[in-house]
Amino acid sequence: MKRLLYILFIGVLLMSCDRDKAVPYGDLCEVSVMAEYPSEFSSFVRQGVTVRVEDINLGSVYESGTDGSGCAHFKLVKGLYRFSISDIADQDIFNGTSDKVSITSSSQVRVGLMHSKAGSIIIKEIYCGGCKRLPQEGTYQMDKYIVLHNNDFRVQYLDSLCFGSLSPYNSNSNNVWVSKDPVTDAIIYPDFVPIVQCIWQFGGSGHDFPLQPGEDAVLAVHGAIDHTIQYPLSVNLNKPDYFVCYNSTYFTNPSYHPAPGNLISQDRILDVVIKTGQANAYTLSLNSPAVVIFRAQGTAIEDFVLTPDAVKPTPGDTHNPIVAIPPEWVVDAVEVFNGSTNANTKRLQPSLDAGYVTLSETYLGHSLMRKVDAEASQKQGYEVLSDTNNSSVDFYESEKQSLHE
Amino acid sequence: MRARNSHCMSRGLITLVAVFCLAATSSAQQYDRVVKKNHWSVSSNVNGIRQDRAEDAAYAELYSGLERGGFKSYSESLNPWRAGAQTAAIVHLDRFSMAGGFSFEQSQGDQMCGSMFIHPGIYPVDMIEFIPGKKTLQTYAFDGGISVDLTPSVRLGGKMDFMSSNWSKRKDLRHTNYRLDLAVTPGILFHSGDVAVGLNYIFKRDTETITAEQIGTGESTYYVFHDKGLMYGAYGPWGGSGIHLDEVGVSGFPVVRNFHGGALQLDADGSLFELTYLHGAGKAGEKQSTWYRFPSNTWKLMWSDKYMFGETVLLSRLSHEYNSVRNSETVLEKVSSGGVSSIIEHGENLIYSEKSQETVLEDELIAERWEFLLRVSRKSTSSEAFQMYPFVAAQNLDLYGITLAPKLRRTAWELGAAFTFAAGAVKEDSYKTAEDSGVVTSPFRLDEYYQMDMEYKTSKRLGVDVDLRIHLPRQIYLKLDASVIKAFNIKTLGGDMRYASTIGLGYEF
Repeated sequence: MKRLLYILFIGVLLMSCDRDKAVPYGDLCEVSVMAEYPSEFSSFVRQGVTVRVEDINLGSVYESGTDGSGCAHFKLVKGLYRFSISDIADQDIFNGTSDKVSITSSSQVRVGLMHSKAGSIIIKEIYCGGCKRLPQEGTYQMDKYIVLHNNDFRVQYLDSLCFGSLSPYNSNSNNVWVSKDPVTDAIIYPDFVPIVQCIWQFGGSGHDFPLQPGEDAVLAVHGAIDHTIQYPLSVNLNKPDYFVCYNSTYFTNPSYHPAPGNLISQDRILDVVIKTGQANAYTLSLNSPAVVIFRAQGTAIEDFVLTPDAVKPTPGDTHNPIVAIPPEWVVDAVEVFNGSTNANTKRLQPSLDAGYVTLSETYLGHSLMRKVDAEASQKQGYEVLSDTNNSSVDFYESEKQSLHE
Repeated sequence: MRARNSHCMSRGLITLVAVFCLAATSSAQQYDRVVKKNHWSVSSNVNGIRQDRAEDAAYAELYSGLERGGFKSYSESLNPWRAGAQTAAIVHLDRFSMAGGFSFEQSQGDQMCGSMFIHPGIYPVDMIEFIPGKKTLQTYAFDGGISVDLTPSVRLGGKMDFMSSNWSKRKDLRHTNYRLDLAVTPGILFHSGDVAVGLNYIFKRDTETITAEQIGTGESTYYVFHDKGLMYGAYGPWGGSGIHLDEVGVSGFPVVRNFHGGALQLDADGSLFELTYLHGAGKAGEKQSTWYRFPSNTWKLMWSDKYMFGETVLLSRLSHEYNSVRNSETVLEKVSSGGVSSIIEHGENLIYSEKSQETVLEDELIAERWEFLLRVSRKSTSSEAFQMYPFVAAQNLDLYGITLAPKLRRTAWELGAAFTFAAGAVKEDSYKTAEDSGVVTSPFRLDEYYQMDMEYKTSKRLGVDVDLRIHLPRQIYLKLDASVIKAFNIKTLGGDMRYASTIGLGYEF
């Protein structure tokens, strides 16, 4: 009996080797990505255009070039992906993004490309994330600002230029303006740009605020004061030639909108074209604004906002209607994503900004800055910034505000 | 009827109350010797306590101990201390036997960081934080088992083990952990002459939740590394996506494992064989936000042989355990519709697999005035991590150990020593499954901590442990224990020595 049990023991011992070996990446999905150019630009289909694929949850990125038929091939694990294409051919820019595409088996993804041209006045910097109140306790965010830049070789004018941000305020908020194609999973954007809460406009009669080639203009979103007096990690926005969003009638909150500093001239205070929200302070997202600058075409913006379809109610929110701006009026736009979540949704259609820049963390004095095109700058003799209408390519996150001294 | 029930209840109560009293009046055989002499004590079938009966035994003990030294894992403290109380008893009556005990322990250490789990390494995922602070652990445990003779040949019994642990760190990044370990093993045993066959079901459950928070403000935020296997994973702000410590709709980072299985025992002519199988289903996350699933399978084969020559007992034990676990990461998407947010799962990807085999051989001689133990062990683990296509990291880890432990026993004292040698070897390989994947990023590894972990596990070390037990009047004893470990060729850890000492005061019933 004991001998039998010994044999049984050895037998089971030998059988304990596991023959079922896990195969790494055993079930990859073969994905073909087709770049779809606008019909009038079909001749641009060619080999070698870079297609970028990003796993939204894991952050892994893959790139491959298109073949002669405009198709790029990938092998991917199951996941949620963002497919983007940015094709620059001289002055023609083609951008397209297919966002939150679920890949669970071999599939074909179509990325529709939109045509655009490089901008003249562009957004150079967005500082919205605030900083610490050190040496005091707490955080501070009333020092937000935008820097605009003339990227053209000709003088540009800020007169009548409009500024606003898109709905929803945050990239990870519920976005009622976009939908998903049930067949292709592609994001469908509205045929307008939904500006939330307020449209600000630079003053001037046409030639009052010139920007020389390579020159910058600073726009203080809240207080145009010297914030560094109280909070050394902040910035001084009380400088001559700075602009400010200030209106004591519509935005009465003195913490967010203190009276502009003594160095700010009256003509550099932006006008409120229309206020649709109810807040007593202008709201620009702390962690993920989508910012636009635009100029009305064929009409004055003041007349446009009075037209019947200009102001639309926001589904599910009766307190915050939006102003529906035609996309072709947009001079430049930048999408910022919230780095503390992966549940971000693009608000800007790809023709305005094919990508996004991520603000990794708030209250650290980080700022989002556009990269310098060193080669073009040297050639042109003034600072030329990267402008592919794709903030994934054009922007980076800086550790400090450019205006911090 | 009511009177009869009342009579039965009274009998049961009296029996329960009499457990320690009965044990107190029996001969003062030391508890651990009583347990060791029963070679069924290594089985999961509680009916074994009646199968190879020795005397009754019970004890209660208070103890305190501390450790010092830099030869430690990255999660341990340089100078922890602990204190606790424990008691256990075995009682044999005519038709049934009972065994049980309970304990409480509080331990604390300074300058602790590293793994946020109470027992690092038992799950295929981990959370590592980097700010040293004081950590406190409280553990409450009790276990109880009973075996009843239904007929002269059949025994029926069951056992329950319960442990609750609370773990807290009170310095940012602060966290609290709540852990529960539960095991229930009902069983049956058939016996005739020198042959016995046993069968028992095993249910185990362990859960642990890490709840992290930041109360103070500082110039920078706190970073956490979320280890998904072989120290590859996500490194970022503790509240960021991908770390899962601060997700909307989920309370902390919860992990749960349920095990179902059973064991079969065969006892013939003094040899006991036991075959155990456990299937585990583990997951991290809750409700719709399940981030990981890790099923596991465990096979264990154990052989124990008992030979008596006179009053001396020779126990030989050989066990072999095989364990496999696979971890898959789910693909989740948060969607909002009509103001209502929900989580959709789009499938899962296998990201980690591990197989291990452990063999332990023990020979123990227990005589009236001396004992001797020889123990040899080997554990071999093969792991693969593949979190980012096409990168694969593979590791083979082998750990060896040998222990010699003589003990002298006299009426007034007992003196024991244990000499241990342990070592290990690690072999690694990293490769890509495809060269044309187009990948631009690469997986992140916490190299510094990985090197410390491997050095701690595999460095050669010698250990000496001396324990002295002094028998005082009235069945009181004083226990003193001191140990030292010396490791060799240490490069990344804070030191090559570790000292420990424990003092205990107990009573044998």
